[in-house]
Amino acid sequence: MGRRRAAIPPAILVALAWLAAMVLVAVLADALAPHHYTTQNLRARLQPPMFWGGSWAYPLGTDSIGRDMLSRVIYGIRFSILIAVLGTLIGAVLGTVLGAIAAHRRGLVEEATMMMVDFQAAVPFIILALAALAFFGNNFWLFVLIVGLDGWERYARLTRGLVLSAQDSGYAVAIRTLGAGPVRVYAGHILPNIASALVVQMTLNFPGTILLETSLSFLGLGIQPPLTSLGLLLASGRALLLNAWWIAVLPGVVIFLTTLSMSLVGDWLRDRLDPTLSH
Amino acid sequence: MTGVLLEATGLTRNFTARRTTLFGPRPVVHAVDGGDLALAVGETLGLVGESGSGKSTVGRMLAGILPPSAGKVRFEGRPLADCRDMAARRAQARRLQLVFQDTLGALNPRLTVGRQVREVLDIHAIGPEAGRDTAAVAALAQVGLDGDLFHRFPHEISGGQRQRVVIARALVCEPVLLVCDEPVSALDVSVQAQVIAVLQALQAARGLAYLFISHDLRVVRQVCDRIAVMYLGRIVEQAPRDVLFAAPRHPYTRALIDAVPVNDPRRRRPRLRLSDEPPSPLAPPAGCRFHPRCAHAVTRCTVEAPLPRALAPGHVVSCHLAGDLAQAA
Amino acid sequence: MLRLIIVKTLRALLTVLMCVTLVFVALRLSGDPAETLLPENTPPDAVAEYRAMWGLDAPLPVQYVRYLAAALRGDFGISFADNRPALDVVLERVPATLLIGVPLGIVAAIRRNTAVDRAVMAFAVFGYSTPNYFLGILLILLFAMQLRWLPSSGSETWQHMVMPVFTLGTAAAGTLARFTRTAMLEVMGHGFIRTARGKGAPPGYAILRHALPNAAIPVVTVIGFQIGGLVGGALVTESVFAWPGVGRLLVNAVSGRDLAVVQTVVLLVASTMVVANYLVDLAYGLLDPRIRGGGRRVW
Repeated sequence: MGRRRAAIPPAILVALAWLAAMVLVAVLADALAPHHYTTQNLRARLQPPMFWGGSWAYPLGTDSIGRDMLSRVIYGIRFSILIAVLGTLIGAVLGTVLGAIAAHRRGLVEEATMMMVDFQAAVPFIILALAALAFFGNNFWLFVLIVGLDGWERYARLTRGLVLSAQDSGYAVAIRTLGAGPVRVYAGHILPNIASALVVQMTLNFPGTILLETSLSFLGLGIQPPLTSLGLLLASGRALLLNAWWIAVLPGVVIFLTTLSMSLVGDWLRDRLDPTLSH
Repeated sequence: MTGVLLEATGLTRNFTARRTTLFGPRPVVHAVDGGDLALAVGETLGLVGESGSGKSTVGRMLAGILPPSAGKVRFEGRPLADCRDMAARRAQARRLQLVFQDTLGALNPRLTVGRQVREVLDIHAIGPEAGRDTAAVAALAQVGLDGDLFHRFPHEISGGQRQRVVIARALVCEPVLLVCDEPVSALDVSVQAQVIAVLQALQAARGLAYLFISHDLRVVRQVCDRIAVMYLGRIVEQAPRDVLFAAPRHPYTRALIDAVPVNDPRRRRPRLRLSDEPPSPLAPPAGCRFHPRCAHAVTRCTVEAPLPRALAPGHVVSCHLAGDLAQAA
Repeated sequence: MLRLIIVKTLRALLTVLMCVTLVFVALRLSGDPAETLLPENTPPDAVAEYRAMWGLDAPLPVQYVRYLAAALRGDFGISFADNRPALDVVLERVPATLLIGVPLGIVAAIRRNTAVDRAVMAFAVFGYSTPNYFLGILLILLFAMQLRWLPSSGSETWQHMVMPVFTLGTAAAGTLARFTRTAMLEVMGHGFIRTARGKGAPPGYAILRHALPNAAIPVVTVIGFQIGGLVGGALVTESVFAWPGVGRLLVNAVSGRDLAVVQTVVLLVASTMVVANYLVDLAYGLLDPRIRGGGRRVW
């Protein structure tokens, strides 16, 4: 019984291509952007994009103080993706470690951890994020940490469940009987076997992380100027919808396509991996 | 080569089951209720019984992976290592190993078979690192497996090959005692014969001792020197193999042996039939646990649990009526 | 069964307690509460008076206990009555979401693999992938600015409600539709549905009477999750549409670092959410006869 390589559906291929493009843009932002994202040109304010009657000089138009939208979007992509990736890693590592400890220790530690997990799952994270931002102010690294904490409870819950069943699995018992210590059992055997489920969870969480960061930036409580983010751009465009719709719509389209692609890829991965994995 | 390798006295194991009522005590399963066993160097002791008899639990207690609720186990003259004492457990693992029933479960599905055999050498730091792969290949060869199986994954090889891999893995650190829990039950009869041949060859070559747990009397008859029969958590009879099959004294043993089909249909044998359903370990009968199904039960059997009695050297029976019962009933 | 209820209640209470504790700790960590909670220009003796009144010079454990007592009374200067808007947010939006999401999911399950199914599922995926602020902006662009059918901000008339409700509800409806479809498909594949059909019952009967109640069980849990998402989404949606609700209140309080309001809103919303989840949990336990019967197998 070999493993059949099913063909990748075209929609997924497109999604993967988009995501790859986003990563490239984020990495190569400095080379790709024609201007710096803060360069102003007050004589070229509110220029429309080139497909809406504008010129090649500003392919995606300009905003209210003449900053090039293409550059702003490119750097917005970079910051949003950077924060989303960092955040996802933080959340994944923290959640996985806590879940593994809960499963290993059992008893009170496990109960306490699961209560925290329940709490996080019950309360919409944006509320907690706002509270934290209010109490502790807003600096960049705190913001990244907060964004990272979004969804940690899903990793914790997943890891705990998987480790618990792995602990009872034949190979874990077998390798312990053969004399292996806990480190070798967890790191060498259990973790690699649950890694794929964790990766799928990361792809499922990622859209939420981007949405959190952009939402907070949209509300003015996330990334602060002079830095830029796709959410900030959307916010700045809200007031100008009547005159310059492109300032809000273009970043919005980028966000939408990115989260859509990630959702599609995540779902596809999850179905391929194990149709019985729960949301 | 004599000498007691493994000895267990008063072996008991209880499990608490899930509560079904809000108040009141939690139900207790008396999986194993006070058994005595002994295994000599190089000997194969069979442990036979139905599902629920407690034989797997006994196996795990003797292998040191399940602590007994009561009783003592001594291996090579010393008590078994405590679960939490990593160093002692590792040292013990080199001498005492376990072969599992579910081979697909016992092997990590993501690692190659060879890697998993080699890992045991890594754990115990046996031999120089560079030579461990070769040693693993040699271990596979010892159980009759080809070297190129090294790079295969557990799901890519057959059940019989997997069982041999599990055996090779257990033997690569050169233990003196192997606890085999239903090692051939999941295999086809022809493959069973192969694996049994491997086990016997290894025993001859290395002087291994086996605790062979099975429900299949035919296999046990092939492999074992002595046999212990378990029923509902208690050891009801222990005897050398030939004695057990020729002259079983406990009614349950006799029923088991009679139930094994014989090749010759012309041979008529008196059948000792079992009555009733097998009871649940949650509420075992009082007195002798076998009495509801026993054709010979008397009042004493319903109240008093029979103690093990030696009818002859090496032949121990737990039955009030043993020795009184005629051979053919 | 009773045991289950008791355990869940205890856990819910403990969770709320933990929430209050966290807020307390955060408040203390972010600086002297008297100074942070009062407006900037309060004269020093007023600050000292505030501190004495609230017992902020007492040792920390005493403060904690007093804080808990105050929380129970709802005494922060903003009363519980003001929490009604938060409840209203949830209560208003949930029915709309349910009404759209669940029927769509059922339709998709019945017409599985047809164009209808694919269309509904595509809508669902788009629905929950679109950031709600973006959807809101697009809707404003189309309906308020281009077509001028609906107003873009404020909250006076029912027309003001259409776009915000639609924005907020789409994501949740999308997820619900998808989930309902999966649950229905799973249930419909079971033997007892085929039996019902085999008995000659009209197809709709089989679905309503047999499939739906069984599919309802997992769907109820998803609805529970969605409530949280709706509250979170409301925050942003209210800002997009300048809708005067608790969401905007919180956002403004955070911008202005008005910690008294932040503290109150967060506590109230969090407790409401924990209670809501707890109720959903209970409902799930009641609906599923397997859990109700104390874990014994039903079939």
